[in-house]
Amino acid sequence: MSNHVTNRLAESLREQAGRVAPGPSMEEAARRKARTIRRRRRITTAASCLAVLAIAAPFGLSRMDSPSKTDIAPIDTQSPKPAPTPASGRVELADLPLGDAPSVPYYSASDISIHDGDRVTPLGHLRYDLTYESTRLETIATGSVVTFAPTPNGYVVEAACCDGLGNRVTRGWLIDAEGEVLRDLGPRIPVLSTDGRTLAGVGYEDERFERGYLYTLDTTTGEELSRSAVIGKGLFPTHFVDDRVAFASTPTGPKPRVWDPRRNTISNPDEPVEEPRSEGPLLLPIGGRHHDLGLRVDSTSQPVRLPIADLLPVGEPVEEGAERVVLVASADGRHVLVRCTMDGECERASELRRPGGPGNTAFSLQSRGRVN
Amino acid sequence: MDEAADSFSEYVAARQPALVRTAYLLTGDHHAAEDLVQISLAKTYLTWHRIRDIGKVDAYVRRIMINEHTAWWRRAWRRLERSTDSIPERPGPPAESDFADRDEVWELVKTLSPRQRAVVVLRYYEDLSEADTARALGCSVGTVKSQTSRALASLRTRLGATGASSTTAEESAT
Repeated sequence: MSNHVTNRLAESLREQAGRVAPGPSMEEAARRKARTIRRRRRITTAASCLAVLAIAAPFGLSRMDSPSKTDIAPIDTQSPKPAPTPASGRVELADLPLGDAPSVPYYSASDISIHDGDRVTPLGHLRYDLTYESTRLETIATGSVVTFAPTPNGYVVEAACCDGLGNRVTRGWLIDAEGEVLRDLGPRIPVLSTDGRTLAGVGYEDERFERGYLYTLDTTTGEELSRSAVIGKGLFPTHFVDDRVAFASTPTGPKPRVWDPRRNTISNPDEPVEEPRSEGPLLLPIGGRHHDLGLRVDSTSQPVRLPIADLLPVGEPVEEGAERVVLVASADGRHVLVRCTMDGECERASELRRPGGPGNTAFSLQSRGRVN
Repeated sequence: MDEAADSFSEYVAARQPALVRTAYLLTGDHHAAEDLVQISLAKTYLTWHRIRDIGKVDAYVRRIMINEHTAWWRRAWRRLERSTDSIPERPGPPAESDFADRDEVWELVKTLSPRQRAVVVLRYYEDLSEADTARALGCSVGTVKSQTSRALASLRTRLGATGASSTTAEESAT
């Protein structure tokens, strides 16, 4: 039976692949795309350098003007000094020293809560309330990937669910810091403004989901701020452009349009409305190798090499104070939060935990400006 | 044109069709497959001068494709797929003439999660070993085994169900 299925599978894949007609060469298009990517990276790096200069220059001048000031030693933390790790080669995560829990918010599946310093926001009561293929999905605990983005007084939480359903069932909630639901966002996950105060989502006036509209919410109260006229079906907001909302109907399809909630107008901008690149550390492969990943901070042009393999794509690395980042890593099916310095020295910021099931995550870090 | 640019051109000319085929199996959509290959080649081009072993470029591009595809799915595709509050009604039994053209296995493969689908494509189309698949996906061999097992179990179950419903439909038609 098993061979029968694998044989049919291999045959089907070969047949489908064989139906793909050869298209025109992508070489030139790829080169153009590469130049665009490189240009964006340079612009971001330059902007970051300017930002660092803008902060550092006044600080340096103030130091020069005040020779009598006494240097104050940094407050000693309870976190042990990160242990040096080799510059290359795989590091066993279990062998890293255990430091403090992250001071940045993180989700832990072990207690189904978001931790932010001393504040713990429980999520275990969030319910899917959905029946699908005879599987009753009850609470967020059954979710395989939980991600979140902070708002001024709480979070937007997304849970993708569940093992066996292809992780395609999702739900979102706007909650306050105590975990109280301010708004059930349903299956249509919204985007957040950069300050986290406004949320943009999609609603439908009809049960056939053809008369869709956009709306914005005040994330501190959950109250609707504005609502567009009916636009159509298959909508999803992509990002905020100042106070306006860019949206599209397919990820790669028509050019995004922009809804201005203040004027309640929709425009087709002449210039491409590109989503701003997230600021902060980025992970990237070094030298085409698959095991050692680099961490590049925008304010520095050179990648820092981290000897951590199998980084999880759950949230991005998050800066924790100056010169430190926290990220999620996995080893042998167990997940762990790791803290690394820009010198490539790492320590564990949590115990290694086994996720609830394949594809699930034991930890996640906050997203920037969007939930996923 | 310098040597690196020449070698990139040669690589694209030689490998583009195969990459698009793999991308199609990952995405299930011709346009998305071409987009996926284009962005993967662009990212490869940026690091081309650092690649010393040309023989391993396929693995590198494949890894980028899978990561990109996962990122797409996480960000935008999921928005489309969840843009409904209710589960679509199951389609009725197809007309008899559809049976000949329909590839049931492929239809079921398209319902697998991106991760499981990537495992299936790498193992059963690219014929990669479990270790090579794990390297391409950036996970452990154990994860590849469990994902493969789950994907096959899912296909087996659904194929059984499809076969049963097809039989029922045929029986009721006669």
